[in-house]
Amino acid sequence: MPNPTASSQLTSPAGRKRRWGLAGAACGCAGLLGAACLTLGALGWIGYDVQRSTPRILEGIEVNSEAPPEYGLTAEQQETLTALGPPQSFSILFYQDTMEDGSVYDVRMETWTYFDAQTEITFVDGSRVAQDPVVIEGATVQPVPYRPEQFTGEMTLAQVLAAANLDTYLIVPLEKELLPQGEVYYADQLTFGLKDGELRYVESLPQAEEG
Amino acid sequence: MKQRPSVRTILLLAVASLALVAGAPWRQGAAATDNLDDSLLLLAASKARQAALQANTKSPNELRALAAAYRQVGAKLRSSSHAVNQSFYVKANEYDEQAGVLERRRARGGPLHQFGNFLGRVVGRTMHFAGHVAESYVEGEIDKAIDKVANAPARAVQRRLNPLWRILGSKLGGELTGFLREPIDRAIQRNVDRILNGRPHRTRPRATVPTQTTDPGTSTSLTGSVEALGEFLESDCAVEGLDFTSTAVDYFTSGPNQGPHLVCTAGQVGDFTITPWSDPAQLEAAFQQGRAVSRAFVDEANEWNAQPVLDPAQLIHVLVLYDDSDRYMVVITQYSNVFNCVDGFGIGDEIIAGRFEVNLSYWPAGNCGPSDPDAYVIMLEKLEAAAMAAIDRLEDRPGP
Repeated sequence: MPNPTASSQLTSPAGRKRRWGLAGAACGCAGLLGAACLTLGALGWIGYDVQRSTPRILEGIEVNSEAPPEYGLTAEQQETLTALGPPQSFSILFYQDTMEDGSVYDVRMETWTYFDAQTEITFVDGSRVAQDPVVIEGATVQPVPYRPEQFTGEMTLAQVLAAANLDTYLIVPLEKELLPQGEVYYADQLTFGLKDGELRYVESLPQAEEG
Repeated sequence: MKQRPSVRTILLLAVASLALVAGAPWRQGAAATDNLDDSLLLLAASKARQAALQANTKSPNELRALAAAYRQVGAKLRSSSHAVNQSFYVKANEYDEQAGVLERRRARGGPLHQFGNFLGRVVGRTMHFAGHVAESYVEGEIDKAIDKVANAPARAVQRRLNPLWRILGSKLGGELTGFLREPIDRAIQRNVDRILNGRPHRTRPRATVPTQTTDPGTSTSLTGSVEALGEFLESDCAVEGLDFTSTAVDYFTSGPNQGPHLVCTAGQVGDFTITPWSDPAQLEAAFQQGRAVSRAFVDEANEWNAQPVLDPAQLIHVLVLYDDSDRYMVVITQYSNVFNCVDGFGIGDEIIAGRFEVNLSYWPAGNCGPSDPDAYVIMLEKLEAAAMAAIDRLEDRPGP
């Protein structure tokens, strides 16, 4: 037998009002919770985005990755090494070019600088293409603790750190208006740049004694 | 007992959900085209930050440096490769536009920006992106942070060492403009040489003119496949006020004017070339092609000036000095974003003595050339006078 009291509570105007009131409160709470989550998420997203674009120094890095095989110097580069020794400074650009048949190939353009010999030699894919004078008067340049052959195109950050034995670096993410997915790094007497996580530029930063 | 989710978990979930909604924009750049410019922008960005150039919106930014380099190298190619010249000019304009967007972004700041930075640090520390590694955010000037990390301060102080870039910067064009531009210009030029001479790299025979004066009547034997030096002398490159660092006789190894032509180059400032032609029709065609490319610069400038809303300071000044049947010379300048500076160039193409094609170019490095546009005209005329003197010398020489 049905309970007349309960039935009247559900169907009476007061009962319906209470029921709608409860439903409204639940919806309001859910809305507030959703809005709070969205706000928190938006703030988290903005924070994440800003954090990723903020220059920061990382110290005490332990690299588990192994350094990749070194770049094989060409005969012309070996001759230069024999004649002038290791470069006192160097910079390397890694990029890709498209052949007339549409195939893509890697290019390695490097400049070896010899301040004592006052000369700078540019190699493209190991072939010497230019030799320019470089004069730093009144300064003695200290050699850098790196060699060009330590670095190869498409190295990852971990591989660069392993190759150069680095445990500290400064990362400077670039503005997307300048170069999307571009990051510039500075470490002990070294700077390098990654695009989409691959090494595209590396340069040693020598120091000099003036006077 | 029920565990409450940590703040880190909530943030991770929130970021993950938003990333799904937003289509993970940090992945969108993964398919970006690889090319030399990306590598050069990394190089430029690295150097700009070493000198804290990016902190000053009045400084030439990395994209403007790239644009200027492409214009300069493109101007040198206006006669030899019309297609490359045009593509470089288009590219330079695109980089200039992009540079404006970057400048506007860098000019932004204020409380909202600071709040964003604060939020970034909170999120970074909460989520421990760096794991066990000690991470510190760089406050203030980036060049000081670079000095700290890259130049080993303890050793530097102990041995009185300085970062070399400071010394180099002061020697390469002042205000570090040269420091930023020099490696970019060089890389683009080397890449163009490589492209024009064939891929993979094949060097075109090139002979540097010897320092000692050569008897014009004597042919000088050179090593390799290069034949005679030709009749040009290093002294043919003498121009008052310009120091020609690279004097060379290039050899066209194919084509109608196969043989030597004089190339006098004064660093990143200016150059002139003299190319002898044996066929008058081909000389005329080469001149017309050079003039067409020079006129394209004028058309581009006029098109720019025709924009409906343009600040008067952004107007490009075009001065056509000569537009004759055998001579076309123009100076194009614009006020630079550096105070009291003019950015621009002067170029010229002409036929002299009925058999020589002469190309002139005056293009000061950086975005701060002479403060007076007339200086461009004077320098162009000096280059022309030097080229004519060299040709006069050749023409007056008695035959064998």
